[in-house]
Amino acid sequence: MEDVAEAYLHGQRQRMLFLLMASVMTAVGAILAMGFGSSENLSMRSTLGILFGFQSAEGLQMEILVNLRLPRVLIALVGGAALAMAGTMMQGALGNPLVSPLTLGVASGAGLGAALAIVLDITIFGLAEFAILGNAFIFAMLVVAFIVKLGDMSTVTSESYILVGIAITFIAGAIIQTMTYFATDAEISQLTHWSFGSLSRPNLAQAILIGLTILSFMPFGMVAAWDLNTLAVGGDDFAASTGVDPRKTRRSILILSATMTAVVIAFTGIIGFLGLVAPHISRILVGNDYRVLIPTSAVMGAAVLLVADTIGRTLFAPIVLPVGIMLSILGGPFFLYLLMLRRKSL
Amino acid sequence: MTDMLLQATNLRFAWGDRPVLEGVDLEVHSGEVVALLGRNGAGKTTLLRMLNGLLTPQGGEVLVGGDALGMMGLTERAKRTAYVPQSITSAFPMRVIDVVLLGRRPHVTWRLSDYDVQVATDTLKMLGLNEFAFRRFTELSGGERQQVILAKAMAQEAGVLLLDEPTSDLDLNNQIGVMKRIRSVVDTDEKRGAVIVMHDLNIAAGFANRVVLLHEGKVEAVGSPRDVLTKENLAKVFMVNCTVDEAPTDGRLRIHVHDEVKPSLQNEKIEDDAQ
Repeated sequence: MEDVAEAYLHGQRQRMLFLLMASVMTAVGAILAMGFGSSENLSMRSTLGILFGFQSAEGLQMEILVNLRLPRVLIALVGGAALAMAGTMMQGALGNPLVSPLTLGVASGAGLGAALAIVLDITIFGLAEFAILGNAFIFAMLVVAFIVKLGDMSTVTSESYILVGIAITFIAGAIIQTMTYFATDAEISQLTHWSFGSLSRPNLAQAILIGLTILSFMPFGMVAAWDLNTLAVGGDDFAASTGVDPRKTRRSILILSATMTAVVIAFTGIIGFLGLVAPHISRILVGNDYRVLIPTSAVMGAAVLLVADTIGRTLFAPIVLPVGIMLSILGGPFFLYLLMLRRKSL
Repeated sequence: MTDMLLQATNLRFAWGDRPVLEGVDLEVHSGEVVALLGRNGAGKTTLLRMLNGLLTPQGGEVLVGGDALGMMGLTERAKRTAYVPQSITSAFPMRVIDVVLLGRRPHVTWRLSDYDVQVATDTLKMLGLNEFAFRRFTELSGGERQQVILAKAMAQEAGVLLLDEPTSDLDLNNQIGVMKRIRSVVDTDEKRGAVIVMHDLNIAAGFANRVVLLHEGKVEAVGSPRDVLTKENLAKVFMVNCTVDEAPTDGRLRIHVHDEVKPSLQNEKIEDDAQ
């Protein structure tokens, strides 16, 4: 008995240590990533020196670091963390390991908004500068509003959310395809480029805004960790008999996850694979206890997106490959390898 | 005098136009194991779910520790009643220890105390599940999972255990073992009681203080196993011919089922057997 309790506590300490190390490594990786680029590579020391004013910048170094690489790295960290966390939480809330942040149709809503701005010049903000971004965000949030309404219905189940998400995806896809059919080559190119998902779009102010927004949402997910554990293990009756309101928890987690996803992909375009792969990598690494799994997923999401983007912008420099493509190219085989290595975890 | 842990009065429930339970009363006292028996569809699981608050009765009321269950928050309910469903399918390979620790959910906000971990590990030990502690719940057999969910419910430290066929997937040895442990928990903790839905009449006779026989949504008989598990009652409710006697070794009630009662001959058979 003592042994089991001690072994459990020892395992928990090891997980927390792993989480701490992964966080530190990701932070170091972020500083290193700021040094890499298509124009000029900087050492970690130079990067920190220039950023914090200990070292004078030469030529365009300051401009490149502060206005190009810093927002890009920031958005990789918070965007990756947000999408991975959203995926992890949604999988638990819906009791389905195949769910990702895009399952509920949030990305399709964003895509539809972007297509309306690009092809038909229909904008809700009316600001040409932010037309695509604004539309993508508003339409993604419309899907979130729909999820809120759905959650109010007494008969809604996990399957209802998934099926409605699939329906939204198909409807939005059909409208986008129709618009694409009538669009000019330039518009199609712009739309295709948006849908790739890229971290180059947000500027520093936007990256900071997204970061603060996501950071303010994260504690709400952490607070729900116990409730997600009960939902993930045994479903609604199990959760309710353990003191958790399954409908309320599911509704609030889905709203939280969908909003986090909407905030990120409105700025970056569609980054699909991450919200599925980062949670599963984290499950393999630290298990399925949401108290540890949520923060680990956030860190792994940040790390994976950072690595994919850094490779994407340095591998064929000066050509920059969109991070969405890099994620699938690198993440897919790596994910399969992990699954084969630890297939018992599935 | 034992304390009344749970009291259900005049419970009524229907799925649409189909009545499931009608005017059902049930009491659980401390130190008592109540067996809930009846045919498939008699309303046993529906009743058990109402005792836990998973279903809201359409009539009547459930009191737990003297307080109305319907007025309690979910956490308070979970502190007073713990429910073990017939089966659980999980999509995520949580470790057994993590599943059992979920029983502490009503008692913690975030951080588990040493006491919480101790309760979970003690429960695992009591149920003989120590060796499973770090195995994945999804890799266990149906019977092993059933025991883990029972451990989780016990770790909840609720006054009333509500168990839906907790031995249905277990081998003979484990059936007896699990019932003994439930009996032991109820006997050693004077503030605990249990309601168990089951189909094995002999196990009910061997371990229950009281038997509630449900038939077509109503209580057909309630009382000690000896009073309720008569061949007349069993023939009427289960439509089986059986012999009820005492084991020569320990005097326990024994029920031997011989044959089903043919519907057309049911009344005649019951009369013959009763003579």
